[in-house]
Amino acid sequence: MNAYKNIIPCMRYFYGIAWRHEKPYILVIAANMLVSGLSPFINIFVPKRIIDELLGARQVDVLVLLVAVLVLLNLAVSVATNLIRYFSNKYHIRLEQRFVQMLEEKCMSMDFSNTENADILAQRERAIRGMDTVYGSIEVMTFTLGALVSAVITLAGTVYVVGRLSPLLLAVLVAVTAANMLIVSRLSKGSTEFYKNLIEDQRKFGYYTWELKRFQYGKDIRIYNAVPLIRQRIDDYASKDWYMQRKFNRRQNRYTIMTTLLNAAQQALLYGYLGVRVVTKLITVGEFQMLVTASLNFAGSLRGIVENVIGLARVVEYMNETRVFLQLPDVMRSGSRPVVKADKHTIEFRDVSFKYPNAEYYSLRHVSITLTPGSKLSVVGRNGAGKTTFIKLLCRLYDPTEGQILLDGVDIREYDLDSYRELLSVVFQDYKLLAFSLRENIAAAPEADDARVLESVCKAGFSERLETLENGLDTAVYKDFDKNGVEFSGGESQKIAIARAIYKNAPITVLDEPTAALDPMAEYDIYNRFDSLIGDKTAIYISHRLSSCRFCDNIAVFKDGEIVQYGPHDELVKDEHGEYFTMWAAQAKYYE
Amino acid sequence: MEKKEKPRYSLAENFMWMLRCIREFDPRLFAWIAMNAVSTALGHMVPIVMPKLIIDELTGGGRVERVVTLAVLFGAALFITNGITGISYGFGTIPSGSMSIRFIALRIRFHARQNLKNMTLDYQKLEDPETLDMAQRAERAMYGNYEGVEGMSRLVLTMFRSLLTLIGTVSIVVVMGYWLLLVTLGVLIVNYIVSNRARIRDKQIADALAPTNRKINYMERMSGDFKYGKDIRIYSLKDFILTRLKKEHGVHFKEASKRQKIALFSGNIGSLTALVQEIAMYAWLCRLVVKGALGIGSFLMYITSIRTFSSSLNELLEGFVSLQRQSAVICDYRAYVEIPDTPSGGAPVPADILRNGAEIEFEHVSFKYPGSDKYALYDVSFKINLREKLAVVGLNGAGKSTFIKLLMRLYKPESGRILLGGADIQTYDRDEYFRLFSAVFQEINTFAFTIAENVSMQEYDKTDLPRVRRCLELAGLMDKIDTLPKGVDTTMLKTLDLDGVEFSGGEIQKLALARALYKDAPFIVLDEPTAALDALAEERLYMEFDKLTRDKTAIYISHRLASTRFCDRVILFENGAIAECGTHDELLNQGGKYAELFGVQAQYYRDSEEAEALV
Repeated sequence: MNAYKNIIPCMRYFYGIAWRHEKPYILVIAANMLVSGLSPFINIFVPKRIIDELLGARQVDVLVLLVAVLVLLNLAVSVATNLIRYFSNKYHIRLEQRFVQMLEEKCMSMDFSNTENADILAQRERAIRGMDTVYGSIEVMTFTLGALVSAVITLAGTVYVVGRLSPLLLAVLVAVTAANMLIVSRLSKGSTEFYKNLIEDQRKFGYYTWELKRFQYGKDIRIYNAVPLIRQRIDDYASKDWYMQRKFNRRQNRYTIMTTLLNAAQQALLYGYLGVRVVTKLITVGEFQMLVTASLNFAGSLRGIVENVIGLARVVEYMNETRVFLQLPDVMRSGSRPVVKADKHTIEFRDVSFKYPNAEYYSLRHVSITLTPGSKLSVVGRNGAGKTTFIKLLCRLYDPTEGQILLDGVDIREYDLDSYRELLSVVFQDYKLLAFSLRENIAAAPEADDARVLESVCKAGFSERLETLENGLDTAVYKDFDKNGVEFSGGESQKIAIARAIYKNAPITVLDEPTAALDPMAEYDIYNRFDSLIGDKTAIYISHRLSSCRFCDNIAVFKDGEIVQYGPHDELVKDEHGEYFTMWAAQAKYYE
Repeated sequence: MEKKEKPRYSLAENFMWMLRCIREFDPRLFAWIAMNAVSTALGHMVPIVMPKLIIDELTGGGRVERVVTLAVLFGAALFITNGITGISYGFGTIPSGSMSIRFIALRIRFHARQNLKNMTLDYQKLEDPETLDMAQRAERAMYGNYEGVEGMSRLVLTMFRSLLTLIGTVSIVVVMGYWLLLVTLGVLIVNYIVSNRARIRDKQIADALAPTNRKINYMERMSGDFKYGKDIRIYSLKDFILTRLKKEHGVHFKEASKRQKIALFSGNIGSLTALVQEIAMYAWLCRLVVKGALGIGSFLMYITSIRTFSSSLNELLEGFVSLQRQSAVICDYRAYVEIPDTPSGGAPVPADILRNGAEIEFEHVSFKYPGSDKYALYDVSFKINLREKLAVVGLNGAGKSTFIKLLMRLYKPESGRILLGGADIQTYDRDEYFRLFSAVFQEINTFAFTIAENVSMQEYDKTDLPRVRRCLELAGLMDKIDTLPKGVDTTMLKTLDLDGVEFSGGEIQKLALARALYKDAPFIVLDEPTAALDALAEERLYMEFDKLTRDKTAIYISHRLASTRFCDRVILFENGAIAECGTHDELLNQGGKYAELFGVQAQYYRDSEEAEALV
């Protein structure tokens, strides 16, 4: 019964949030339960009176009154239902937005290590699914809960109606419905499985239908004539993989036949038994009609209770994933000490070792290095030597496994996280721009100091391009927000990212492979600007192009997670057995 | 105001097209549709007719055995009709029934058809924004179970079903006179008009909301995409993004509330018209009973049948509205998949050229991108010798990529000719011509298939596995692959297989190299193949370049001018034209742009005193 244990905590969590933000929503839910629970009784009681009257006295004024009562009550229910739907839909939209905001905020504020953790990534996928109306969402939960409660109300009423007139019929109905429920519960078990399969399958479905269609594959497919390969794979999927679903279907069909059989038998029993009672003058035709309707409602509501409890368990299974994600603990936000505002800061790595979560090997080993204010450090090494990890630790995206990183002599973990990150301007290798305006991208905020933005643009070497843009700083980056947005080239985007780093004006600047997408002249340009870009700030420069080492004070050569050499270029290049010389020579020989 | 265009195909044409597609993709579906429609229509008739017969017996003859027989018959009829309906299409919300799977399978086929069009269009068209737009519109025809192509195929079923039910109920009610039918029809028409107007207004609001929704989608995607994680944290973008998201959510909510209000209004009109219908129905039927013209059994039967009549007619009307909507989307779909294929005929490439390659000559070739008025290449004349190693250099945007795309016939020259062994390449069969080239592109795409398939780019049973291993070895990736339990049979990416492998940038570049080697074509094009490699891995590729490209014509594009050292000739592009051409030494001596670029890069590697003087 594992599936059921989360129902209460989950409902408490989500309705708790709903209650805090949209109190009237809870009222609307209650009204809905009452209206849909009680409305079946109109069509149980009133038509009976009409039939009795038609078969008996046939008084026109009584008939008019009865018909008026019937249609007006039905009208009232119908209008009430419309109103309830109107209000609850509005609340659902707002609550859904609220949950989206919560999810996004969580994604953006949680510990960075979580964002590179495959389990958390999967958890996020599941969390989003929990808010999708196909699987979960507060809308479906409320709908299911409402159906459940109104079924309980209807059941209570029909038990009273049927039990009073015909206790035996009630007993038979309970037996038939119980059998039916057993089948439905097994059927639903199958359908939970179906939904699970569906999720697995959706990834495949998405790949074969949507992903493979993307134009980006165009060149490879043509030059390598991959058309037969791709056609075969899609065809296999459409004709084999997809039809595996039929297996599930066949099993489900057995249950469908059984429930149909039971329902038909129940109907036959109902009409036969009650018919005989009418013929033997035990009940009137009006009562016959009433009992038929009431019995059908009874069976329907009993089945509704079981189905909706199962349904609720299924919905909660998905929504619980959302709850788990939103409640993931953040451990990095423990520090509270504000960083003292100053232009000069010293950073020291003291015997730092680091292993990624779940990794077997250390990515950094006993790294000790001090960055004095205004120093320029170049970090070099082969792919996978630990350069990027070093930067991630510096940015406090991860905390060291062993050792300490000190800012002005204090362990950085003691500082308030946001306040510490204020110190850093970073252009990551895989930097991302937003689909907002250039101004907003450079300022990384909705408001900007235009003079400073332009100065940053100029220092980053983007001024000339900016002048060609009709809308200047208001130009949107990408077309997501604005049809007239501009898709900048790799080199241009990189300059925008550099401008953003300059605008931030933080005391420490990190540039990770900033020239990878640039042609030689643009690269030369950046190298030449390096001094004016950085000024007297502390700077760290990572590059495969060792040429960049020439304008840094010191070079740290990483190999297998360790700093194997440290010093200025002229010194390191003299050690002909060192890693640095090997790399330098590999590139330099082509330029001799 | 947008002018209303005449749709490409009429509703009837699209409906017939859909029937033809079903016949082509899954003809058995017709049998399923017929069966389900009949069983559903009969399933509606049983609860109308059987209770009447029973009640007639109760109020008339009153024979017990007759009542029991009828009740049993009632049960049996329900079992058969509902059983068939349930097995074929299922009831309610639980997706089941063989037909659902068939309908979705149908949609997969439509996806596949569009994909085939993507793969066979001229490549040049793929980079044309107009084609992209058409393709995106066509994709809307596959947005869901009840949209576009699948939506229309399902409508074939549901409309047929309601039509049969309608005929059944009409034949019962019409016996009573058509008066009631007319009232019901009138009510439905009023309802239809109101809801149709509401729908139009609703669609206007929804359309106006599209940009807002696009923005919301973008922000949801971006803030949830952990690739943005580092920048979001370092530049404290969280609050900025959330503020924007909340603002757009506010706009969305305001408009969505309007839509709800419209729905409420038309819902209430529906309730009121239903009231009119109920009053008319009860008044008419009660009057007949009071007059003694109608038994109580028929009284109940007519109530049920009028309600069923009304709901099936309503379904039919709704179906028709939906049909119109799907038809519009299907027009977009057809417009795309029916773009005529370029006749792929043409002469086969002679066997010895396929084996050894041939000289290629550009003759006054010019090219302009669609929608651009600037020439990307202008009047380029140039000859690539057989088995030459050619380096192509130049600044970003100078025309290097356009040059190789023209060479590989991914683009067609606007003017001028490209000759292969003396004959215009346009006269050759397109697919045959592609066989001449192996290429490592700047952005490399891998597929969620096995590593072996990603190297051979062929179906698994046509893949030469030893050769795959050899090529991976040459590309320097075999060490990595040996660490994988399933070796070259490992699936790439985690999309289809959770145990799939994800390669780093450098490894992907090596895989692409292996792919090029496997193809073993006479021409090999390498576009910045070392961008993601470190200094030593890059050097290794340089060292082995000769071995890898022996007996082939090789074209090497790079920003690293060092790479030009092992090429026979260098061409430098500037502003869409070949500005310089010659060996490395010749160009250096020439003292032009190449010498300048080389100097810029080389200075950092020269003696330190000299370098310091420069910086």
